[in-house]
Amino acid sequence: MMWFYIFALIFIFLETAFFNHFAIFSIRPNLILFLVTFFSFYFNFDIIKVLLFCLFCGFLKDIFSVGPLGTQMLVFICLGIVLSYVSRKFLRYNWIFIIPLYIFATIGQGVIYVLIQNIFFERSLSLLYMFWRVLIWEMAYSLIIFFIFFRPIKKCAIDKLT
Amino acid sequence: MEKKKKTILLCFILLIGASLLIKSVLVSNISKNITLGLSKLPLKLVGLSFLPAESLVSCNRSLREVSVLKKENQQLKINLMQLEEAERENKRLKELLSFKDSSNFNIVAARVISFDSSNFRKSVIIDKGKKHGIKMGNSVITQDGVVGMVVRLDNSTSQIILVSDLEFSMGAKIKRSNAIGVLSGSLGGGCRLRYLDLDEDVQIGDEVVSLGQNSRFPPGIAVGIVTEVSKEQSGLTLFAIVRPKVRLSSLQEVLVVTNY
Repeated sequence: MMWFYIFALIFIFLETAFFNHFAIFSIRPNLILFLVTFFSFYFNFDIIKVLLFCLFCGFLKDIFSVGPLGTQMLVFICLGIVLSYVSRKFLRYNWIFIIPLYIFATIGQGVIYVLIQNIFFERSLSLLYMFWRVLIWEMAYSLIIFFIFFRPIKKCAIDKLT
Repeated sequence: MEKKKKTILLCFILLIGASLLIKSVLVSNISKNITLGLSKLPLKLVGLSFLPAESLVSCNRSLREVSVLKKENQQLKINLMQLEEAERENKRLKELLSFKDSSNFNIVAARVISFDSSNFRKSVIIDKGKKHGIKMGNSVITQDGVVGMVVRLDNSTSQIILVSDLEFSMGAKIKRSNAIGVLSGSLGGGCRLRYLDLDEDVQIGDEVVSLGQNSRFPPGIAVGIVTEVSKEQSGLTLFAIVRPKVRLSSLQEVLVVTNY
């Protein structure tokens, strides 16, 4: 369990410092979202544990972002609830299930972010614009990085959990 | 009979003596070689037994030397990289300093310490804040051009939205034709210069500079280059896609204009 929090800290450091120099169309991989997806789906944890982890990841994202504090926390909590529900219904210990779920989580993150911005901050963001400008590249880039990080995370997590 | 026997024995002895004499004269070199060779054989055998041991010792010594040299080489490579980085930094800082000296603005130099964690926003955090004289809304530039604007302040850090952020906007004009528009971010690393009149002369490759009239940005600071010109959906105005002059993804040092 503690390993996931350590990975979250490492990933936020990589996102804000390292991957910025390797941005594609100024987009970096969303490693924290990948970690939340993995945590919520793969291990069938208790909902409270999932929500606490989502809150922690959202907080990390928020303190390194210029947006209003709480936006990312809300996005991650919503995702955590949906993902843990899907996990209880369709739990499979197969990495191939993570890919469509990650794509769903990325789009879900975009939808929730746009909704929060438009409803609470009276902005007029277009989801389609966000999709073509950000989400599609973020998804592609994150999935490439996913194959590098998947095995070490799985190994660490499973070793600690079993 | 007895005398004959004695004569034969004497002849035999003489013959042996003569043959020994001849042998010692003619075959001395060969015999010497043989005797010497035979005498050296045990020594050589002992020497051969020492040879592998000696080569093993020298091989081990060479391996140690190689590993020491490899380490030294690695250290030297690291030192060289550090020197090259220091040289690059020195060059950048010299350029910043010369810009700072040549401009008439009050400027605070700062280092970028973090980038935004979200792909929906484009911002950086710098290592200077309130106590260094920075105020909300101060413009941030480098010697290459406009970087962004201060939007959040702390005692020792500040958060800056970059020109490519969706919430960023500033007055800008085309340097060649003085066509005025509003520059805003477009997330993909570029910007849009909007609300240009339809009859304005805007071409690809034109330089965009800050407007400066009652703006937070000093006038005439380079912003970027026009890469595309199109009509807005409404058909009433033009917009231009502008590529920022500053490489926003690899920002390291910036200048905060506190007064101009």
